[in-house]
Amino acid sequence: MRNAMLPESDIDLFSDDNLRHPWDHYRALRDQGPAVMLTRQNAVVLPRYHELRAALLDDKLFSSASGVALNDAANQQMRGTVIASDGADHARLRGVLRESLSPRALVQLGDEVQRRADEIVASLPAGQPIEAVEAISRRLPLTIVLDLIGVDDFGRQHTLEWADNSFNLFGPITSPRTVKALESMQEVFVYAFEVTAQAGRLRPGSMGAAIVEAVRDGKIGPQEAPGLLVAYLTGGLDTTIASISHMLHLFAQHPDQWTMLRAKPDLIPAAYQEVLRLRSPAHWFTRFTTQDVDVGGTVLPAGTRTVMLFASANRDERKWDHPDEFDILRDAADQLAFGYGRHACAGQGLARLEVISLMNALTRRFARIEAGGSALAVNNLIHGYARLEVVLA
Amino acid sequence: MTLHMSPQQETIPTLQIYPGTLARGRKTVPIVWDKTRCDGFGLCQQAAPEIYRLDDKGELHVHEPRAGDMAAQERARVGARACPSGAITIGPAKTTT
Repeated sequence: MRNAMLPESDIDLFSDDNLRHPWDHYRALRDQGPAVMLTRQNAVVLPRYHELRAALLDDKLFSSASGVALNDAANQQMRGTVIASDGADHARLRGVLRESLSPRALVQLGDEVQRRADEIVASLPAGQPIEAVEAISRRLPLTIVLDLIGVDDFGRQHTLEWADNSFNLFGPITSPRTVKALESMQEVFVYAFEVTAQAGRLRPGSMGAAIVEAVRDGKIGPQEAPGLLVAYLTGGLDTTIASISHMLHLFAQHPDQWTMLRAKPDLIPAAYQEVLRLRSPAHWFTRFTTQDVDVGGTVLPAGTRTVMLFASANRDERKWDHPDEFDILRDAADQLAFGYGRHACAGQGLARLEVISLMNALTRRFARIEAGGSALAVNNLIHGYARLEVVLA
Repeated sequence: MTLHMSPQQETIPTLQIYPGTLARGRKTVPIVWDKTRCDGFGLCQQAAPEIYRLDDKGELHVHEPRAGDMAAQERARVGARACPSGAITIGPAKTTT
């Protein structure tokens, strides 16, 4: 699949260091061209904004049906799930998620999420160091998302571990994280199979129970239910948790913008778009080309595994002025952190609701966020924090 | 096959045409909503409430900008760009006869 026109890079995007600090490498890829061959992965990366957005919109040319990971084993495992299907199959599966996650479904949830965010923020000590990943970032998604899915205590205890593995799973087979994830994903699928197959295991009225009802009503097949539950269990936690930590870290670095936000809380939804642009939690997924496709003058042959590098596109100098700068007054409404097109994150409404509710509560109580020591987490796909010390005052 | 790319206007292969756009002799810029792509997140309405309104049944109602009203056309584009699913396309101004 080598192409004479295609620039090549031998960068290892999956080393510990590069996963923590990928930004200079992403810029180098963008400068090489709209499509660059990653020789270590035998895959082509799309690092620029406009080409990536167009490719994400064209789900016929850039297909998800053969998986969206970088290794064959994971792609085999996920085949036929909502993230790894196209056309009518995808529409059917997505319809189940859409019913539970659309803003219309979330309307009645809004007050409850804000109430829990207020509770969490009210419980935080002022003026003394706290570890924010544990004390803030994890708390709201864990309480909200696990209640919504309706899982039991076993599911609750294991979900964070499953989520971490489930994103490592997408990496190249040469990464030890990928190998470990492939081994451990068995457990989550067994759990998901059991609780969707046995009546009453998922709380009645929950999103999990809605999957079981969709099987009963013939909307989806019984073999499709575990995959949807796994999508809920893994998709809605680490992503949002990482995003909350990034939000705290960015406003700790930009106290003037926190002050502005406190004065004009109407800016919060747009400010969160800017957080997502600059610090995209999920950095990429892959697609597979179904035909030869010309991307900005470079031809990708049919059958090319393509890395859709959202996090790089969100800092593309060709699209954004001063892309590395945090500016909550910027119009970042068309950032690509949730992907774009038919496979755009189905849970983004809930994610926005959670983070914006926390931002509401935090701006009302605290005038300043100060950051102490921090450590970035290492995951093949999610960019977040392992530790983030803050003082809220 | 060439990947069609235009930052201003994105092409969508299959279209459900909003009923208003087929009226004869009109001089507005058509706004095309692909309902099969729409997840109902309502970001179009958040970005440009004077152009887009998503009702509580998930149907999108649009105020198509007049052909000469460049400011309204820009607002329509702002709303379309904010759609996370690529469900809204702004067509070129034309008169159907």
